[in-house]
Amino acid sequence: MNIPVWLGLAFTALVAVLTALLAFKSELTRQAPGRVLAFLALFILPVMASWGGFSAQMGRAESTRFCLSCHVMNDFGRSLMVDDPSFTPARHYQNHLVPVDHACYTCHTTYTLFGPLDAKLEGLHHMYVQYLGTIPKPAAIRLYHPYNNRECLHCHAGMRAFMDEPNHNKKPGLMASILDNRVSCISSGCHDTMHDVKDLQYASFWKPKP
Amino acid sequence: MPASGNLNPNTPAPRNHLIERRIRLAGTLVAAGLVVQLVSFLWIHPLAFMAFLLIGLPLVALGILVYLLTILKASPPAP
Ligand code: HEC
Ligand code: HEC
Repeated sequence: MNIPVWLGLAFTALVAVLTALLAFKSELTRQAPGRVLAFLALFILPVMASWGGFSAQMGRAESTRFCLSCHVMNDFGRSLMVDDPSFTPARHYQNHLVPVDHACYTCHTTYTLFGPLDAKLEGLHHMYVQYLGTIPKPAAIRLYHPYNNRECLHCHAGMRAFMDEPNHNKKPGLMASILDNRVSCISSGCHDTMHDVKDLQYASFWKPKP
Repeated sequence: MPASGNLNPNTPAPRNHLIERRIRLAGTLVAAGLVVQLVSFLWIHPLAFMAFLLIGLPLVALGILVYLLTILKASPPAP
């Protein structure tokens, strides 16, 4: 855990002690200082603590570890370690082209105004399926919406390796169609290997040197 | 504040008892909610996240609501 989170937790603990004090000694509020204390401890400070806690929880919900904490995502996590650069997520993960501790979120949020919120709402739906629905087999899982090039282009637009790539320019207008999502980056014959969990049993895995 | 006579430590009117009971309830709810929030940080897991969202936050919100309603009712009526 990083330092801001520790500080936030210490703050929350302090506020909890103050509120508990008021709960046990509510006669403190007979005097003016006690009433000020009550206003702080029962209103201002808990709002601050909860707000901080909420944003810290939201941050955690974007972590690779969080995504992989449900068993059904195991194979998707393993697919990041496949020893084959044609596996696009594996290539990005192993070379730190996506932030390692936010790998899934980096590719699976949507880069729009409400994208981070949408991603959380879909996450809530995932939790609903996980705990109250029927959990599908990993290989049967599909995205709720077709993958939009926008998410790749968030990083790749303007990148020399992407813009100058001969395959992206082999037909007139191809680059324009990629840029506005008329030709998908992941169409077959292009970058069509992502997690491929159904064939994971045949894959070999990269072992980082200790 | 004309009503503060009512809140005098030497004359604990029944009204004060009621206010203090409410404050006690509010404090207990907020403290319990904050403890749930703290405990939810022990794990990085969807259930911990849900405990924060569905138990920790509502308890704190309820406690604050009880407190705000209490001071609203305790304040002197407008002349
Ligand atoms: C480099 C970007 C990238 C990273 C990193 C990445 N994914 Fe994906 N993922 C994709 C793309 C693109 C698809 C869409 C594949 C398709 O529709 O055929 C996908 C599809 C999926 C699917 C739907 C099933 C499927 O295979 O189509 C799941 C579930 C998934 N990813 C989970 C994860 C998890 C969990 C992580 C982190 C451990 C992760 N992804 C990391 C790009 C990525
Ligand atoms: C967080 C940023 C980010 C995202 C999102 C991202 N990439 Fe990348 N990708 C990179 C970086 C950085 C490189 C390294 C480029 C280089 O080495 O010149 C790279 C390299 C690649 C390469 C290899 C290029 C080469 O050098 O041959 C491919 C293929 C690729 N990305 C495809 C994708 C696809 C498809 C998506 C969407 C599913 C995607 N990327 C999403 C950052 C990203």
